[in-house]
Amino acid sequence: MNNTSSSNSQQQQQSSEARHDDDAALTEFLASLMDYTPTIPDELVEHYLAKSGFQCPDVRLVRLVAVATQKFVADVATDALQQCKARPAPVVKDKRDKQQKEKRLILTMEDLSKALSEYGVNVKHQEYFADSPSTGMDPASREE
Amino acid sequence: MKPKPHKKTIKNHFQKPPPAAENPSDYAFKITKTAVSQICQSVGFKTTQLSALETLTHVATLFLQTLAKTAVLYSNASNRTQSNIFDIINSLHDMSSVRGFTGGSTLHCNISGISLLRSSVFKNIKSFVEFSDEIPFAKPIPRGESISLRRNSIPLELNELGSRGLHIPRWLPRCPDESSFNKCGDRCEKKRKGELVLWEKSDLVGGGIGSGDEFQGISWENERRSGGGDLAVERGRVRFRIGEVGGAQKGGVLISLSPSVDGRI
Repeated sequence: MNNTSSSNSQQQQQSSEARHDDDAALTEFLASLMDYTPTIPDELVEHYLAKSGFQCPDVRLVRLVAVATQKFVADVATDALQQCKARPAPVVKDKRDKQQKEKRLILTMEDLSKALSEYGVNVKHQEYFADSPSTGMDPASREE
Repeated sequence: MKPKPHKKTIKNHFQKPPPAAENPSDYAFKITKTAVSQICQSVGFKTTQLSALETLTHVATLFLQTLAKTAVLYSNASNRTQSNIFDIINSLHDMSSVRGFTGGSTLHCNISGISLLRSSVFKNIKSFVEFSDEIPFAKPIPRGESISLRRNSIPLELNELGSRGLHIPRWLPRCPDESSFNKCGDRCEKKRKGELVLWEKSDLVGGGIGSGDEFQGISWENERRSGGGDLAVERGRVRFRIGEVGGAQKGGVLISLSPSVDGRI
């Protein structure tokens, strides 16, 4: 009996310690959000949150939503980039081969839809006629 | 007369808002597009197709809104109007359940909420904040009237918001004007304290709020019919006779009430 009671108390102690650690980590994380500036601005997130009926005066939670969305977009974009890089390169016998390789990193609908399908989003979107290779290849005009 | 149309065209040209921001949602979409393209650039893309960028922006917007809506559902399910971090984490888990994540199977084993913070979704966000570079938005956004944050809500002044308590949600309309219920109460009390008033003249007939002008005709008619209507005025005696009416009814006893104001029966 003594052994079991002592083991129970040990477990309780461990769980309380673990909870304390979790609380400390959560507080630290929320504090770090105050210093972090997400790419998606707070005003925009607040706009969408208000549109969805979300009410919270805490800025840190707004930042958390912004960070979560930013991470999602970054993950999708990274997957699309991997798709883009994994595609066999078109045979270009050109002197400016290095430059061509750099220009090849274009976010296309094909790569994006492949990346999004991993996240449960089935995209069926017609490419615009303006998305011709010539417009896509011109970084000066297309880069936003 | 000829230069008039020319002037008009110039005026129209100046009155027309620029096509960049036709409505608030369009404005918000454009800002999101800029942010998403910044993220794409940070990931390593050099250029983007316009359709791909717009699709990704649309998906990002939907992601944000779904996240918020699920968090609101969680908070409403636990009888709260304001959401907290656990609602957001729960909704994040719901959103990432399509792909699956580490710790998803033990999410609901612990009620105290410890396992919520130990899932890989939350840890990944933590490490994202810790290790990824900050890419602030290109330009500061004016926080003004350009985006109407609460289009459906009733505009409230700041003083009013402070006075009505923080627990009342902002989308609720303000209380009706005090005069609409306070004055009415005073009037009723005065009437009660003072001399008796006919029902016809009371506020119940007159609508209680208005002066009751539209009912004046009715009450005046009633007054005339009842001979003044005031109980204080002397009246004739009223008698009732209960008796049989012979023949016509089958042995029934008919109670005939024949009030006579004259005093004669």
